[in-house]
Amino acid sequence: MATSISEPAGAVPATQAAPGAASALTTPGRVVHRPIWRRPVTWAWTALFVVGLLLPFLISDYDLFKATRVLTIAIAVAGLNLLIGRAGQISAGHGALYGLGAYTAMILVKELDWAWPLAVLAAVAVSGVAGWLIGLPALRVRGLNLGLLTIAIAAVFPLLLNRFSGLTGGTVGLQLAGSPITPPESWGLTPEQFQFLLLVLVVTVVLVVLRNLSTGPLGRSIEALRVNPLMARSEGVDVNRLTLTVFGISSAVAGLGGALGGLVLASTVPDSYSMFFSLTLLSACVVGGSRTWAGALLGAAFIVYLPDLISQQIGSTTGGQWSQLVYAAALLLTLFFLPSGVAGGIGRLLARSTRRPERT
Amino acid sequence: MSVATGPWSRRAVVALAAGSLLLTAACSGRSDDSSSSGSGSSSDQPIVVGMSFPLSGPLAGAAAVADGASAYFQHVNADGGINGRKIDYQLLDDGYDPARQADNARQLISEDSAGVVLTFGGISSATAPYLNAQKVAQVAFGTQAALSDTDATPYTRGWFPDGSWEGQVVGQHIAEAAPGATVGVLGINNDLTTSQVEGLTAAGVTPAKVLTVAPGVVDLTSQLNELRGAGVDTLFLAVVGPAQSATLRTMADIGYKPQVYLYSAASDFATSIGPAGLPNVTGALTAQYFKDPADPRWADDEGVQAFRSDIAEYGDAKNADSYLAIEGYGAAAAIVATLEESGGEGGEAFTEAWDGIDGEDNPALLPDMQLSAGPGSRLVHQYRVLQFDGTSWQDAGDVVDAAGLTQG
Amino acid sequence: MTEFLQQTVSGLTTGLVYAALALAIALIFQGTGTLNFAQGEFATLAAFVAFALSTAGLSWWLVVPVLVVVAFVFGAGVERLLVRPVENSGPLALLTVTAALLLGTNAVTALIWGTDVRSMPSPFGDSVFHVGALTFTAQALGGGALVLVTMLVCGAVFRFTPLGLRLRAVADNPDSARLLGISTGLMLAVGWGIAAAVGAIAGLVAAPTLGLSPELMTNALLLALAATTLGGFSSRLGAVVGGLLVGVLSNLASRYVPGIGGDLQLVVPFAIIFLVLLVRPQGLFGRASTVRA
Repeated sequence: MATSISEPAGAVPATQAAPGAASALTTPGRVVHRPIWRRPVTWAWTALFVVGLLLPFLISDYDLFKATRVLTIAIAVAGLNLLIGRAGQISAGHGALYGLGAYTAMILVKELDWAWPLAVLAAVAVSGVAGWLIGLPALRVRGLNLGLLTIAIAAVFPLLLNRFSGLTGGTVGLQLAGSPITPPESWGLTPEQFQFLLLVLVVTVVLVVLRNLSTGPLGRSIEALRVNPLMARSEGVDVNRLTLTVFGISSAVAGLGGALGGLVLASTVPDSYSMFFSLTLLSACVVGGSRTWAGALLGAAFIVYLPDLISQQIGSTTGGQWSQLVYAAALLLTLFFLPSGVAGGIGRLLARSTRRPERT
Repeated sequence: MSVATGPWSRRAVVALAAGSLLLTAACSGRSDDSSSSGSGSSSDQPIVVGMSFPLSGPLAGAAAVADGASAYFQHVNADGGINGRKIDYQLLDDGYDPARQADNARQLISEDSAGVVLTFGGISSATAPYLNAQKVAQVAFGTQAALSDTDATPYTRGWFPDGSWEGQVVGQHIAEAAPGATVGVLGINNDLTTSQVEGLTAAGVTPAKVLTVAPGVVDLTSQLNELRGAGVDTLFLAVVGPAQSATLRTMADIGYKPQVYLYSAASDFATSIGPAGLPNVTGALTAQYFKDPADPRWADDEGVQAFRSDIAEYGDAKNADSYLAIEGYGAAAAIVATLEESGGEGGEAFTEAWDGIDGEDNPALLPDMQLSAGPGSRLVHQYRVLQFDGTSWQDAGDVVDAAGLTQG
Repeated sequence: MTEFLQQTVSGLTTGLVYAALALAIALIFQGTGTLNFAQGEFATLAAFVAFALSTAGLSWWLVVPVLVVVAFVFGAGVERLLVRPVENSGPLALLTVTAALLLGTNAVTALIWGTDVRSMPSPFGDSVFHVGALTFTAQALGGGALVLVTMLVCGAVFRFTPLGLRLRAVADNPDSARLLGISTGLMLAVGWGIAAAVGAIAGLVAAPTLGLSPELMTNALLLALAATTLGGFSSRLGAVVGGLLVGVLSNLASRYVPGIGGDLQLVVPFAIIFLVLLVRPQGLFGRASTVRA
């Protein structure tokens, strides 16, 4: 297990009590026979969903646009959470898959005049297949070697975009006159409101699907894959097929985020999907908490809002380097004090204060 | 696990925290008139100029451009502003991330009501659709032909000349000076090199070898070996950043001495020929339009002196020798001249005033050159071939107007 | 043929920088079990320090040892202060910490010295040597010698000294090492220190050729990572050979393989790695790790 990327036991408070292989097959905190009105977490998510539906009528279009970007990135981070937090496989190349989704959707809409929902679906399929292919070396290599291979994909992707400029538009990329994702006129919504609402729905569906996936039978196999591949195999799990499936799903989800992100922005350029972006997604996954679904939202918010907030506080022509330094420091401090991510950390803090106040 | 409900209520709080964070981060409320674009027209209100530049990340060097531009704006404000109205410039960092630039553009328009937005680099094309849809004038700092397509993006104007023109000017010079030369091009794998090669070809010079590398690749010894092996005796060198100086140094090291033409934006003292070692560049040529503030030739030049004193007073003193900073300074001067014509208005009034500029002096331009709206609605399209004599860039030809070249 | 040989020589020269950086990465990987994404930035910072020392009038004979010591202290300090707190949070958190260090170090360098490229004179002078039709610069030869000496010293420390034995013990099996009374924490810090010192040499060798800027090692880091994978993370020799191979092969492939060209040079090492990993997941020189269930 020396090079396997698995979160330490206890990343989620619920697994803290009983780490180890035995608990791997029983999903933490699974509640089966509880009436719906006695599920606080369901209530919290429902409340969040309702807030998400109300938000477009409360805040400005500019803030909505930014929040929409958070949600598109959160989709990709959720895909990473499945791969890293659940299956224990690392990918430092999800930025490229996000970009692949964006470019696929963009090319289909711009060059072939596809309707955007079809283009998004096609982008999901293309990214999923690409992810399945990327998963092939994961059958042979695990841990950081796999991280390296995927980072190579992240590094090479923008170069390929530049090379095949006939298809991708080269350095200046592809642009549409405006986002194709617009509401029907009778709805009386601005495009920003509509896009945000759409993303709230998509994120909800993605999170529900991923959560159900990770608590279902497949999820238990995935958990086994993370904790101990050998044991998983002995329990009758087809490890190779499972690995490829997880890579495919995770990548398809990242491509979904990218396709929506690209179409909302109405623009794709190679510089958006640099290796740096892939590493940023990875840090969002870690900072948010790779084993909590709320972590995907928090991590995405962290990487979108924090750089802007910092540079607005510092804001001068020489301030850019200071913002980069402060961002790095914030990232470090988060990791120091909340090693299992913001979402995991909040849960743990609460556990400490409610259960054993005197515990140090 | 002591209490069965423990983890559940904890995770509930996590979910709520995620929600509240999203809420607090998005702080400004929805106003009724959200469609206000363009700067206010009343005569005492400041003129809002929005700027989105990479101040951090790999292209943080472009902060010097923003610094030069800000210095000029402050200079204008100190002199009383434009027709009595101050310039309120809002500078935001985009880290050269197109998504952040698009974000910034929205903030500059919806929160700050900017009528003109300045964006940096090829990624400006990512923001152009939005700004054009909002009918807000955009000045994009980039050589890309896409940025001078005023049919597709009528509110976008490109600063810097189109990359292909320089290729034509250089090609013309080669055709006259060394008709039988074996020409090579070493550039970056983007459309800058493509358009430069198109320009060379349009001038009747077909390069024997065109090699491109990814930006950030600095060690080009392999490419130099290849060019040398192909017998290239005239080299157009257009790699940017550290690679330009490193390549010049390597050429001196390995004793490869073709006639070199340097790309105009990579022929300055501070970032290119200084680090390359001046003796290694002696004899090199470049087709240039701006003055390099670090060139001793311009020590007494009026425009450069104004630039230096403004940078010292309003900007970052370490940019006093920066070619990038004077590029921003010159661009700001052109923008101020345009705003004077448009009466401080952004949007269509701005682009009309921009297209109407004819024979405008500019502190950053070489002597005997002026700004005029020409092909692609770009303001700079005059070049002069300069040769480096070991201490400074001296004239090696007449002023050439690209407007006269681009017929073909 | 002459050009082919010259291309090979150029490849070896650039490969030396990758080799030194790859060695630094392999050292940290063996000790801490993580990739240090910030290794390149550490090297850049070191190059700037060397530049500052030499412009302050220090002779190169003094700059090199001073630099090695400073880099060692810096590397060990970073491990103690910034890496130690997440040591037990899992490899992914460690990896993210090094990414944060990359950003932070890059910003610090740019804040102190600016983003402009500077010219750094070669410690070995500007002379050029000709052997047949081939050209060698003093910088290439001197830099090569410096990197080779560094590697030999590093290898000797690991193989023949008690310190090296402890370092290897901690790398191989931290738990047993702790039972034997070896201070694993101290050894990890020492490992980071040695890696930073080796990286500093890489920076010193790279800067005169590439020009000194905060982006000095951005590209080299990627190729060094490739080199480390190629050679196998568990092998110091492998990292060095991997670095040289990456330098030579990417040079030759971009020149002689149609369709690759300079812009896709970066693809070459990773394509090789892809193939190598499929055949030998532990790398060319690595040992297959036994699976502990």
